[in-house]
Amino acid sequence: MRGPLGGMHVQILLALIIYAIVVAARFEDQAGAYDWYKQHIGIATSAQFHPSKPRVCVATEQSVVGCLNLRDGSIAWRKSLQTAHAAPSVAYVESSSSLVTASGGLVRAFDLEGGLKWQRKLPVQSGAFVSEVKGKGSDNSSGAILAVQAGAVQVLDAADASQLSKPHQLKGLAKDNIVAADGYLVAYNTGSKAVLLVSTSSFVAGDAAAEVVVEAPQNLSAAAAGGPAGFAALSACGSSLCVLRLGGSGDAAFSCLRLDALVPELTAAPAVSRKLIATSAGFVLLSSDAGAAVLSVVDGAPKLLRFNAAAMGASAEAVVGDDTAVGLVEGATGDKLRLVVVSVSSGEVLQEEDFPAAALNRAAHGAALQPGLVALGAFRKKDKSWGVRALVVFRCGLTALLQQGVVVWSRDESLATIRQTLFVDLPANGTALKGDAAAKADMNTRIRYQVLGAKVQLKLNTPAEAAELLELRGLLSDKNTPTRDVNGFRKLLLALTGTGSLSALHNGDGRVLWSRTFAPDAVPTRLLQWRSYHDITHAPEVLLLRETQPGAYVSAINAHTGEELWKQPLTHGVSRVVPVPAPLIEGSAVQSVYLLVDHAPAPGAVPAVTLLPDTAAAQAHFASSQRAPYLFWEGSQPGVLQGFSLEAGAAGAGISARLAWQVALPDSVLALATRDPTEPIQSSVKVLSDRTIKYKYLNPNLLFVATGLANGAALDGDDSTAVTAHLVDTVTGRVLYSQSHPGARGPVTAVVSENLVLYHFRDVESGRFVACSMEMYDATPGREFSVLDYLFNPNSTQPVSSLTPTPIEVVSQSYFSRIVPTGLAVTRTEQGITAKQLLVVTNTDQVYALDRRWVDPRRPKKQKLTQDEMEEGLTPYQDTLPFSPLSFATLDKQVLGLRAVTVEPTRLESTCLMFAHGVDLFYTRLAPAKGFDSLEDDFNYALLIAALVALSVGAVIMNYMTKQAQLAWKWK
Amino acid sequence: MNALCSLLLVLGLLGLASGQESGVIRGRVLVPPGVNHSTTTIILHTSTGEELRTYVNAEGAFAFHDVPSGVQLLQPFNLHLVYPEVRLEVNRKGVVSRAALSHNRNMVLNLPLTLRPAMEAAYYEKRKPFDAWSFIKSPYGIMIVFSLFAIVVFPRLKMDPEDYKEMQDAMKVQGGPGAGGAAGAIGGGQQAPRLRQ
Repeated sequence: MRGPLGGMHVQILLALIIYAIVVAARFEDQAGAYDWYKQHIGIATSAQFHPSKPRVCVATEQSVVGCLNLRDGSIAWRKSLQTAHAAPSVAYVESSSSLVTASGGLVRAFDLEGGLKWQRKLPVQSGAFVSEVKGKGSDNSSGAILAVQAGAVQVLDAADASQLSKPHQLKGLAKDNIVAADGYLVAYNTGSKAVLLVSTSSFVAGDAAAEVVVEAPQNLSAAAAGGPAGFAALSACGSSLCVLRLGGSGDAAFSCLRLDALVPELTAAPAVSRKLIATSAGFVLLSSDAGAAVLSVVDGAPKLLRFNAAAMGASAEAVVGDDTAVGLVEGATGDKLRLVVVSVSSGEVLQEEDFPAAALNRAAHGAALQPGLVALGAFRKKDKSWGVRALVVFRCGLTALLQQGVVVWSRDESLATIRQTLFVDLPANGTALKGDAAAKADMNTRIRYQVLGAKVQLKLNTPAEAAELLELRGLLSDKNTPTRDVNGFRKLLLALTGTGSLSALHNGDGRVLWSRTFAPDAVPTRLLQWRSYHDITHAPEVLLLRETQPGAYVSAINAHTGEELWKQPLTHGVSRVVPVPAPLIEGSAVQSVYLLVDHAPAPGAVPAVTLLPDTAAAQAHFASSQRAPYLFWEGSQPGVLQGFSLEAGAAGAGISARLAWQVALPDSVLALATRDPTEPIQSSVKVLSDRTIKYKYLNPNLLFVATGLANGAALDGDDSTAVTAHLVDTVTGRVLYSQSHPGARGPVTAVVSENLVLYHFRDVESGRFVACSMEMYDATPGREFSVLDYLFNPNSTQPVSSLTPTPIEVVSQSYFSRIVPTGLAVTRTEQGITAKQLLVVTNTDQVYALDRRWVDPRRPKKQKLTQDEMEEGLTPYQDTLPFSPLSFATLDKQVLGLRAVTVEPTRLESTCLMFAHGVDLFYTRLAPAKGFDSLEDDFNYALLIAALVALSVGAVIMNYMTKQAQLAWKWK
Repeated sequence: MNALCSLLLVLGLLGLASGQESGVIRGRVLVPPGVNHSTTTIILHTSTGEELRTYVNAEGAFAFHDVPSGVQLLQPFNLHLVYPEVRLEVNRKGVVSRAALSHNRNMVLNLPLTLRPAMEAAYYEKRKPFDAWSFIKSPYGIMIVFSLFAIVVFPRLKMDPEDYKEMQDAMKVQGGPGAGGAAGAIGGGQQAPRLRQ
């Protein structure tokens, strides 16, 4: 047995070196050298200019509220409302100058400086509607807030959220659309005629609210608005405008008027493309293709005041001087944007201003500038006349402030909606992307940079010099060159956004190199690797997939230019995409192969599976791949897992799927995790300090399942609850191992890497979060290891089959964790030699890099370690995992709304790239075991040269002095 | 006027908190001067497995309403500070019966909660001030020290060529078997010539 052990020494030594190095933290002066961070706010759905400060406060689709600085568009403050992809309902309460938001079952009131005034829970966790209503009598100056959710109405004081009257239950209010109009709540279902009216004053007074049902002459669409002039809605067919007169004498009565009679110039369009905006005198009818009509309503009869055929966007009304007006934005297609301010009472044009659109067109990367939201604000100019400014949010995500003939600033918010990302290689040298040459710096700057670097390293610098160093580093660094480098640090980061664009970012600084926008009905939903080449002349190709029918398609995109290479419609929807583990090699090209699964979650349903690309070569590759992929998912009933086996047929005939197994687990499934099949694994054995060998259990068909009490379910008194971890084989459905944690509950997050499973759950009694790590080893008795066989005899390896399972030995250990995870990922390096770090996505929107050695289940439970244990790199057991802010991969940044982390290996074994995205973006370079195979980028050559020069000078002087001394001695 | 209002509000909050409201957790987060509340978030992990969040007002006060009974974990967060987690026991009446640090339950906290930071969050390693000894230990220092050693000490080990010749001549004159050993003892540089003898 001595032979193989000798061979293992090198590995142990290597592991030791890697383990011996502590946390790879960064110095403050290195901030920004390998990382960048972009703050976003999201795509605004409502905006309100600050009454006293130069700010505009917005609420966005990404459920963020915040204020932007009007001077430069920077974020003054922002708060996340923590609901997934739902724009909050917002009401601005002028009397207490607060923003009241309702989302995710919570009503919150923020002051305009970002402080939270109050927060109240609503009965259910669903969207709610908030509106400001007049308070009880005249003594209540702060106003009241009406929160309507699923038919329940609460009346809250805007100042402190105290309930002004008992909550009301009105079943009739549980409708699709709720609009507040002139002292009434108007509720109706889209496409129906019955409209429910409730007076809001009765809610505030605490009286039983009288519900009145009014029949509309036509079915109503969702395009509706309510204001002082009453309630108006477009008919479902889009041809008529129906206005409901409220208040005054007499009963509420509907009147419908054909649009072609009211606004003859308006082209016919369906109701969905039209929008109504309420003003104090009437309504603005806006058509999304073009055209806005300013209408006044007198006694329930609408009248056209002005029609603007070129208007693409319209604002809510704002006070401009002595008049109230709306802003219309025209001509977004040309090289000019025009803002027309129209009085809502007379229809007169009060002001007109032109803005150059060239910069906006550039910033939009060719996407059409279609205003989605316009907000108008007025201000006093220096000459005491009134000026207007407008915040325009375009559908492509571009947000701009227009004022006094210039676009003051613009922000590209489409990157706040990133759904998926993919790293691809940049073009090789000489085939650079056009128009992106970096400025060359002269020698003096380089010398200055080196001198400053030496000063900073020796701590002899002034703060100004430190800042200059940072600036020069950006200038001199080649990290922003748009070509690939030897180490593979420079990459192109493709991002598929929710606004329907595919953008290519340079990973050096996050600038957009190209962007391609898709039409709203052809927005791709998935971004996948497609084809890469070993030669440098071909650009890699990526695949875009639209999953939902109608309009499902796949298309290939050139990753260097954004050009569409081909597009192919799909005949069926796609509910799941399963990559075939091994890619298909075609000459110098590496072709990814996918299984597109169309599956309805009905009992007994068999999924329809097609291969992509559906060629004979791909079919043959699929049929001959070492192991057939198996599909599995949660079945139609909770706690049931289903697995399907797949069989390849002839080309074009598709792949047949057959239900292979079904497992019913006792509780609800809290988490599922599998290993990334492409994860590189350097060694399949682990050598212990006593020179014995353990074989890692590396079954590629392993599925981790955690079950337990469903999240949100109340724990009843003496009920015992447990989280159970199961290891399931996805080929046979056999449960290979399970362990239970009594007194625990979800939420559970889990990750599988190599032979390690790490999962987090919550301990009920202490309330704390617990991280449990499981290491799995193959426990087949009598396995022998020979280095000669390992190196030279490929047939010596024993095949492992899921059908004849090997016994597993599981070592497991639990630790309390101060970090509360919402997701887990693992670092990934080229060969998988470097010690791994677990990347914990925290609930505070940060990423914590946890060394794997901290969750080693073999950490000895004693303080004094033996020589052997130290050699293995074990650390003494502690009940809580270490928490050090130095370990945050996101450094001192918070990636608001953090959703996912993407890790990409580089060609240097020590280093990998990490990109975290949510509303914000954060990119950094990670070296889990420090850069053991390279000098750091900021290695100070000046210091090295200074040392060498000092040495040479010293040597010359010493040589001279010795000669003199010898001469003097000889003369003696 | 505003200050007075906010003072009244804080007093009001404190007053309300002492009067045991049902299902309400109130507290205040303290920050040292120089740190603001822009990133302060209070996360409550309820006994039902839910995560409730709230922010603080300008004074750092916060409140959770409709908290279920059972053991809850309160996680205060500020990007620039580290706060200890707090374990709260809420009884069936919805009243907080006990508040303690989660990692040491003997550390009982008073109600309403006053949360003090445990330390500043240092996300970057601090560069040490210039230190001659650490410079000598650095690769540069070791290089310089070794070279100086080479410059100063090695020439002393070397012999002047003329002296060497003289000595050889002297040895030739003297002869004898012990002479080679004596020459070797004078310096280390004579190994090769001695072999030539």
